[in-house]
Amino acid sequence: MPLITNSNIIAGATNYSYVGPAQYGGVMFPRGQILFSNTNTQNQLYLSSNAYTNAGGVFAYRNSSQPATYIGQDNGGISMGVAGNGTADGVISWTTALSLSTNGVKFQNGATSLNYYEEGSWTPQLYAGATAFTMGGINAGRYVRIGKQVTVNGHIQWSAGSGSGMVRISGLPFACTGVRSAGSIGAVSYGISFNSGYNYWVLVIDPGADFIYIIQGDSSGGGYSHTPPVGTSGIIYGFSITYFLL
Amino acid sequence: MSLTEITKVDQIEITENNQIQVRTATIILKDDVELTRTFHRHVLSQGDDITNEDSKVIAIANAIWV
Repeated sequence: MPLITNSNIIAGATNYSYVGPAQYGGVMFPRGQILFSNTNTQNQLYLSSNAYTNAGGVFAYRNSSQPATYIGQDNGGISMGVAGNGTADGVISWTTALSLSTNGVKFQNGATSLNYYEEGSWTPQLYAGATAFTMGGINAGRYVRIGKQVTVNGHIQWSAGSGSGMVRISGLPFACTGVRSAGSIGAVSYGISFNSGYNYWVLVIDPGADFIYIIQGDSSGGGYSHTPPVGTSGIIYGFSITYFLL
Repeated sequence: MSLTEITKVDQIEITENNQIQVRTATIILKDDVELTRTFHRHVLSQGDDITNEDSKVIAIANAIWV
């Protein structure tokens, strides 16, 4: 079997004392730097630092003065492991810092995999009751979805329309399938105002909704209302809300 | 060298409430090689106007909004 001597590269079975899984056929850098192996159960690939395999194919420390790390492929997944200092040649107790599988990305301290990231745009559409206002040129929205969390923001300009009733912003990038969430408005330039007794704005998304309510509230405890008066044109400079999906 | 812009609906999802989530991709190609892909999204609920939607979205809406 061809090999490079001085125990640097070994192909297949050799007399090197730390061949490990490579005995089933493969190429090994026996100081634990790179290992491609074909065990009797699966193909494996390890890229490691300060680690090598013993006769049983288990990672062991090469040097007690340094921590060890590895990137490994195993059973269709990719994992990155770390281990602190330890006893030279002792079995390494790896901590999986990051793993990648068909379920997504999983971090060391998390129990849930992250399987979704997306960013893009959406078009806010203002309604008062059944009236869809004509939206203006600076009307725009952006979104970021990270896992089941969606954050949307934007600004609203409307230039024509007349209506009353529940005021809402439609056009969300995702429907809210989680619990009710609240957000905030930056600044109302003009076009929407408080009824008597109300003095602050809040945005709310209900479960199952694909729109945001613009709600006027009373900071003195007088309740809230979904029906602030809306003018035929107006601008809201900035709003943001984060909500969740099931 | 040629630059081409393509817009297409590249993802359609249906929620448990029969809402249809539509993702529209805008793709910029240089000599048929993709340079950028950006997304725009919107959600359709039963009763919304679907007149100007993608034909696949209309077909899905007509199938599930009964």
